[in-house]
Amino acid sequence: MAASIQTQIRLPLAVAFKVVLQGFRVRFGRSIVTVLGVALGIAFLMSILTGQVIKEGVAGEQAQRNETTRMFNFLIAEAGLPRGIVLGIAELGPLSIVEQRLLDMIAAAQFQQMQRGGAAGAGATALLVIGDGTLTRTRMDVLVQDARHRLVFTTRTGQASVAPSEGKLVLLARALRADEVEKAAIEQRKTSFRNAWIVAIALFVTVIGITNSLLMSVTERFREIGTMKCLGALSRFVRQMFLIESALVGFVGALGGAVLGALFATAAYAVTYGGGLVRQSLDVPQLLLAFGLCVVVGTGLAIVAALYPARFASRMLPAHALRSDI
Amino acid sequence: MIDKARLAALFRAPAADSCPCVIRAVDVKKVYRMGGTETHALRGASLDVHRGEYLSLMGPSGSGKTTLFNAIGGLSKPTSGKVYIDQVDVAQLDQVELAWLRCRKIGYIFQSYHLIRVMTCLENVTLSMSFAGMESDEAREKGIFLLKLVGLGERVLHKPGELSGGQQQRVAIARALANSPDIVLADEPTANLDSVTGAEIIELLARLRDELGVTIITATHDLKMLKRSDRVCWMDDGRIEKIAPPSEINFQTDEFDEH
Repeated sequence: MAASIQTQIRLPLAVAFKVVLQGFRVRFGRSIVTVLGVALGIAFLMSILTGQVIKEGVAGEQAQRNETTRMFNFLIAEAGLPRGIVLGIAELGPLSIVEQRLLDMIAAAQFQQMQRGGAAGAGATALLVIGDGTLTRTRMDVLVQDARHRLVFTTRTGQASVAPSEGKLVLLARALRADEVEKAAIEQRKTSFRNAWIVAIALFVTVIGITNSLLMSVTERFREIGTMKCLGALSRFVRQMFLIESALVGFVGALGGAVLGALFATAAYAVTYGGGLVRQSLDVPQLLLAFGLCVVVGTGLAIVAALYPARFASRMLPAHALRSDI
Repeated sequence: MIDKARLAALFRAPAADSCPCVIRAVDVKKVYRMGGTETHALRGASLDVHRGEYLSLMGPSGSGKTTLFNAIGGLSKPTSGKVYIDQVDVAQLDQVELAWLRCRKIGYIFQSYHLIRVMTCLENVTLSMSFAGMESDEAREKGIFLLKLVGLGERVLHKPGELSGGQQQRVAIARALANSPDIVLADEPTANLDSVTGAEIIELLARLRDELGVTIITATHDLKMLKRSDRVCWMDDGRIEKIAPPSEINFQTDEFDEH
């Protein structure tokens, strides 16, 4: 006989979801308001994050453009006008974006001649060493051997460990001074602290909003909860249902809010910086990361917001819950 | 989650011949404290309910019917005294075991139906079956069977809001029977219904008692219901004044006039 006693009481997840979704359908209006609350909070977070990604992207893009121009100007200043230069280019390895752009700029500037490969140095007025790698002394000497002027430009500090035996080595790259780096870091910290503070307040308000609306929802559903408990639902089931409900609200709201925030911030910065620059410098992986973060944060906060209401609902005694309508 | 051995020991197959009592309440007292004042809702009620019996609790409002009813049904714990369901002391059970009891042993019917309005009739009936771990196909089949049994075979997929009061109460009855309970507790099941519909519900409950052998306990003011039951338990001021078959109770006395 003991074997025939089914001791399990369980709430299949599918059933829980169904109950929650049906609840949404019935209380559609208020669910939408709650979702909007989450969406606004998350939209704010997302717009800040997107703004940061865009600002960093644009700053990086501008820095690269400036660096390219500066290198080019430096090269012209040392070697002379493009029309008179036979430029030999030695590629050591993969190019950085700035190096690639420098090459593009050089190609557009109509030098007298540009030569690459093994014989890059033959008759060259100037040599440009470019790319990721290191020149050995021997190779350096071979390059420089046939050159007219033994003038060698490098784009990175590590490219040539030694100067050629004859001629002059010029480093085009420029490292930031220590005080410049520090100033930028301080500025960065100031901005991110301010942003974190504003975002924290916005999200806190969102959490309170969700908690409030869930508490209302609990009060409204006293009878339903009591009925379920009379049918044998464990407190855990009631808690689960409220947590699922809130997680769904949070997820949908966060999705919507993240899209909204990203669009808004992109539009705003496109007006400030110009659409072209923003489009060109947009760091899509970073943006997707921010998007994912927003969805996770939104869902997570919604679950946190639901903890108290869910506990409140689940602790209710069935007899009390049923009496509440009388 | 549940200690199987403990449950099995608690609910060892109650041999019907050794104890005919499915519910036994011994000197149950319940005190509500609100603010500084104490309200004695039950002042020591003792009651034996036999297996397969149709028992009615009656009495004026405030006499402790609902409190006794909740205590018997494991919905609230008495302040003192014991309630045994199938010889198990309800006070010993923890939350999970109480839920198990409510899920498996007892079916509840309420005055205002308490159907979950966002669910269809069938879903209302099958919800507790899914708590009990029944497969959804099997639950669906049984749910449809039960709804047919109470005469709602055509309304399986309707929402409670689309049904009349009598029909909603029928759904509630089908739901109470979902896990084939031993006991059905009905709290004023006909109070919100007109007399014809109420009579139908009373007949339905009596029929279920006859056909399925479930023990039915109702709290009621309804004369028709009292007359249909095996025994009537008259309560007043938190005490059980009298337990007798309806034939021995004079329903013409003053105390019945107000109802």
